[in-house]
Amino acid sequence: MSLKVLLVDDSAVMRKMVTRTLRQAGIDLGEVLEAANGIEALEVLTNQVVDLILCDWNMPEMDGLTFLKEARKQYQTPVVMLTTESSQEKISEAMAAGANAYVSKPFTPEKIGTSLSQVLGS
Amino acid sequence: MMVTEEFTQVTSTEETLEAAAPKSVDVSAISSGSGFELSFSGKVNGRVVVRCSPEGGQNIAGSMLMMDAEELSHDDVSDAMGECANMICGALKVRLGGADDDFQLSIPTPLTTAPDLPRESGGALLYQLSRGLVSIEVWRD
Repeated sequence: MSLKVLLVDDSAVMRKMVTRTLRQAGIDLGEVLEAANGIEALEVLTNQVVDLILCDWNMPEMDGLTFLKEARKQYQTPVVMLTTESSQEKISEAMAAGANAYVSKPFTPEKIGTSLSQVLGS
Repeated sequence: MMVTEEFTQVTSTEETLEAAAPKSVDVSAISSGSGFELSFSGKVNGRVVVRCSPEGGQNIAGSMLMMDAEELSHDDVSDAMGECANMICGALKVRLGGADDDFQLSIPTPLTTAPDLPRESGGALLYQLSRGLVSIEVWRD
């Protein structure tokens, strides 16, 4: 079953890289939606149902943690944080806010594939 | 790191790059390329600057996006360097911040001019890529 994915990252390069990495990891990608910050991501979610959200932390307008907290008020879509924030404190903060998994940048296809397999149970 | 090219460290110095780089390395190319700056704050305040020569930027962006240099736009290279700066600082954060719970890194901002950096305390690494140069500078305020 193809996944409909929302990528949330202020870097267009990173959004392209994540898309490519997901395909390299063997993920069956359907439609890939993109947002450059948390505000745009929330707008996407009001009109679209997605299977998975991959979200950066440090973004302008609305950062990833704030987006996660806002999204969790309405949606239970699996969220994987993809970020350079790698301290245990930040990881705990994200998980407490409702993230399903946390992958530190830079990441390999294997690393992200393993994480998504655990989150999506496949 | 998604970059597959070999990084060869040319110099590690507490002096300015211009003063300490080997004579065989033309560091002036760095000043004409892309650069990003991040500030950090906490118990220690300062800045991290990541700069590259035009060829170095294309090299890195091309590796990240798996595209040839000719296909890359200026925005692609700039964006890739910003993301590299972000990832480098993420790795540095633990070393710079240690157990400092208040340690914060800013979002990378593009360098529009050569940064007026305090040279009193800090250092730089200069890397020779297969094509181009990349420098990573860490300076304390």
